[in-house]
Amino acid sequence: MALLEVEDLRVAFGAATAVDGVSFTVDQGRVVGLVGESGCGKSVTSLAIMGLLPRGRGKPAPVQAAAAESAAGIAPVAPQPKARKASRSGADVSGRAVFDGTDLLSLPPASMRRRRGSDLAMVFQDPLSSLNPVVTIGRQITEVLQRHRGLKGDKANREAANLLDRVGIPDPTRRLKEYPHQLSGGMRQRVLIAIAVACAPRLLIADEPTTALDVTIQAQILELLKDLVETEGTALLMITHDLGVVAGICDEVNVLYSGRVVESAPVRELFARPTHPYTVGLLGSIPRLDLGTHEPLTPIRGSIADVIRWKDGCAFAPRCDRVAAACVEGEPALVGSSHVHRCVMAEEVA
Amino acid sequence: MTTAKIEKLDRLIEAHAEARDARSGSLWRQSVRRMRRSPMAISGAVIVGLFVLVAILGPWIAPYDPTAQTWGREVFLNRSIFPGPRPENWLGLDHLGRDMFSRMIIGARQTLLVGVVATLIGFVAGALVGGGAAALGTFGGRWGERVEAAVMRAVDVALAIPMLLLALSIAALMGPSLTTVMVSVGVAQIPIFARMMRGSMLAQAHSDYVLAAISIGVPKSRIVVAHIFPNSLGPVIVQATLVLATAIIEAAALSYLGLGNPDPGTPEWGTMLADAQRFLSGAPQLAIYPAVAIIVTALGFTLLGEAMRESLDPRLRRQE
Amino acid sequence: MLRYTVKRLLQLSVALLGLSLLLFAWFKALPGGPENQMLPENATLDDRAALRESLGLNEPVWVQYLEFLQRVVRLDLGSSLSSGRPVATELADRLPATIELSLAAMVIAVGIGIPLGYLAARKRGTWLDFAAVSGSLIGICIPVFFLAAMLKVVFAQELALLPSTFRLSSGLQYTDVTGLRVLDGLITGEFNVAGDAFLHLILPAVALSSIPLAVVVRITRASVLDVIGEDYVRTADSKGLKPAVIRGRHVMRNAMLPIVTVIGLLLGSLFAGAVLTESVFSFGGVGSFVYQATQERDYPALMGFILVIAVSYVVLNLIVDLSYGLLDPRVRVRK
Repeated sequence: MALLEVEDLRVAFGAATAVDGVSFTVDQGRVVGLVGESGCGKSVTSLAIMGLLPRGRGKPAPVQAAAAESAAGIAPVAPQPKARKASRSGADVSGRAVFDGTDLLSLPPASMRRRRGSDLAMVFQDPLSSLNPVVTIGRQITEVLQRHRGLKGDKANREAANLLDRVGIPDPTRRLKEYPHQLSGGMRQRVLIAIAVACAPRLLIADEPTTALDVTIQAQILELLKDLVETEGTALLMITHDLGVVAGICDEVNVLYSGRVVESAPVRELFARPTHPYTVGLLGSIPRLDLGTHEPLTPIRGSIADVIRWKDGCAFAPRCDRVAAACVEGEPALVGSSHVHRCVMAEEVA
Repeated sequence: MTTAKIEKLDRLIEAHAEARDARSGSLWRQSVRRMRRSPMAISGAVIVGLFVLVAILGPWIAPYDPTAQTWGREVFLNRSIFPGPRPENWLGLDHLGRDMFSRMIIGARQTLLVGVVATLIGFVAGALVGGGAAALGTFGGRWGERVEAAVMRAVDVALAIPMLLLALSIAALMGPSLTTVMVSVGVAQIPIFARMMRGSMLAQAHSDYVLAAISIGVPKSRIVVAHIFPNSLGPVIVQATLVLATAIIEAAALSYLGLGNPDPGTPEWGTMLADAQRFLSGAPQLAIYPAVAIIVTALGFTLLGEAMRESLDPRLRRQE
Repeated sequence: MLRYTVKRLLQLSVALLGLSLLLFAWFKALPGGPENQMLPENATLDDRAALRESLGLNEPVWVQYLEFLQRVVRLDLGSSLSSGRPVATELADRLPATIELSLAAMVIAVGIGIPLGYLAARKRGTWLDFAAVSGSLIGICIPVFFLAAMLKVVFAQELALLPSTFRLSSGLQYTDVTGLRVLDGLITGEFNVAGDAFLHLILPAVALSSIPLAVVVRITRASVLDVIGEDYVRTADSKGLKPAVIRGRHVMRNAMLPIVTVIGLLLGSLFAGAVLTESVFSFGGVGSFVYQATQERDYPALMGFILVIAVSYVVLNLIVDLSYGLLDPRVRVRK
């Protein structure tokens, strides 16, 4: 049985639907990617699993969550902070996220809090803003040790130093007394990872963990994550917009578009035979060294704001090169077994 | 003066400037549109509008001469029991037998005058001091930097004296009069305006369009006068709206301290409120009318100012 | 931290020097010159000349300034025109009352303002939030002396629930320790004194706290709203920490930074408000003294007061700044 089984997850901020029926599974010890442009719902999906979305009261909020994210534009920003501030009525979440036999979405807040940070943990995108500026690194690590493992005082400090050592931070005992602003970006992300793995979670969710970092640091962080997953047997759900990251670390990939999975396959399979035109587009818009310099990049036209509702047809149709009449005749279904996709024109693509 | 406060002020001001840089043209229009939706802005504008209207039209609205002790005999004979509201005197009589309603109406004008003149003194002098310092510091070379530092240190020192005390010490020098109230309240506001103006100018001076103007060889004096200065006024004008509220309240406090207009004839809310303290237990209405008028008016300016500030603040805007 | 402290201390001395210059200028600008304000009205010309000589008014201005500075440092602030006693003594006698009143007002402002501001932020958009915000807006707009007078009329005179004037009921014996009567009563075990002083303190403190309370509510609300949207609060949440820990260590510790700054700045309006409040309640502090001095144009007394207030304001804000350094590690290393 899968460690995490997400079934028909839906998240709406009032009238705006951010996640529109997403299903996927994460197996023990595997690295699963959740890929898509900003605004596709990948960050909201991860926050919903973690129970970090503000609870909805069923009242429609005036916020267009997806639109807000794409409007913010240039940088792929997680929509969550904005959603938190903006929607007073919060998010309405439905569906199931079964973790080790328990549906996380139906857990009462208190029991979910006991699991967060111990059974499942999360690493965020911006390591500077994700660490509390006025609390020492040490305290930020030991508080989670104390909460879930009951470690206090010297014991907790020693364990925290071990953790920092484990994530490759030199001179850990000194670092424990320092504050986030005294560390470099890469170091801070290592600290966040140390916090996340402090209680040996079985599932680690990493939301764009390398986006805010320099390229050289990115590689180191990915290496670290990979290493942790291999030695600890932790399952990793990797949220990213970067197919390079996916190729480097993931075993399986789910491609999201406008709140739904449009293609899902093992990583080699996906890169070898991309089926959904959106996946093809994503692959076509990254530079490739192996094709020579003459090959032009083919960006996807339009933006994520050009969208139709899934129940009316394929949401990607307005931006798709291969659009046909069949694309807008009702909801496209997911087809396939190990390599699934959601495109009625798939044969033509292949 | 705390550095933290200064940094906070500067950050606030930079936030305003950033907003302008980001969406320069449409920003003001956006703000106006946002304000039209904000109940805070609307109620503030309505109050301020009414107040100004009464101040202008006062002599035509007031039923009686506000200085005539028409019912003096009645008040004196009754041994200081002042009749309350009645058909011929809607708000009753004051301690000299004058019509309270007329005094309130005419008083609006004096109150507005005191507030506006005091704020203008602070605004103009503060903008000149702060603006001049910023301009010298940015474009005046080493010498200019020193002058700026000296001026701003002086401003910080003045900021260390509570505003009312600053006004009080100036008023003590001048002796009680209406001019005293306006000048002392106004002068006491100079430091805060100077601070804001300088911060606002500095934010502008480091913006891209100024760098661009320098790079194409526009004379520095022209950049300062034609671009930086006018563009920096926005947040300072917002501050002025808020200061107007403070000025009206502080003018009342000065009157209470006996430094206001010694002429009991000309009605002004602050003076009226201060005078009425003597009769508070017997005739609290004499104090309550001008007090409520002052509170509502100050509230109007505060609401308007806060709404303006919020609509200009990009951080708050994102939360919508 | 040491460098930060030294830097702040240097800034403090510069500020104090500037302040003394300002006061000197003020003193020189008094109508008729300083000697006029320091002599009784029936002084002879000889007296005047003697005083001018002793004040060094015939010396060059910078010498005069230095001498002025010397006198200020020695706390020789001249004599009060109305009482004839040294201004420094008059102020020292009355300072404890003002400190007690200001402390009480600050306790009210902080004790009610921070929780209320926090609640308003957490319950944003509800009636509680609306009430807190509009209440604080109105609070800023009420003239302090009017509020004080109304409280006195209603609660002391009409309802007769609380004493209307002075710091203690007449005839009550008390032992002076710190000059803060409530505290003294508790220290010496004279609980009847403490209780009586407390009752006398309520109305003035409530009146004086109106503006600080309003400001603290607003800044707390704004600050908490800012912080609960921060990524690190989400991180804390993702660690599964208990709500109390998130609230204390992650939300409030960050939200306190602007609040502390504002509290420091509020001290100024508190001192100014004390002048008005104390005079309404005849509280017998520095404020009442100054009210009287203003009425009687007692310039030496006024100058002494402004000096004391400005110096304590500057020093208190230094303390606030240093505590800010303790609260925010980023300030400590900043150049």
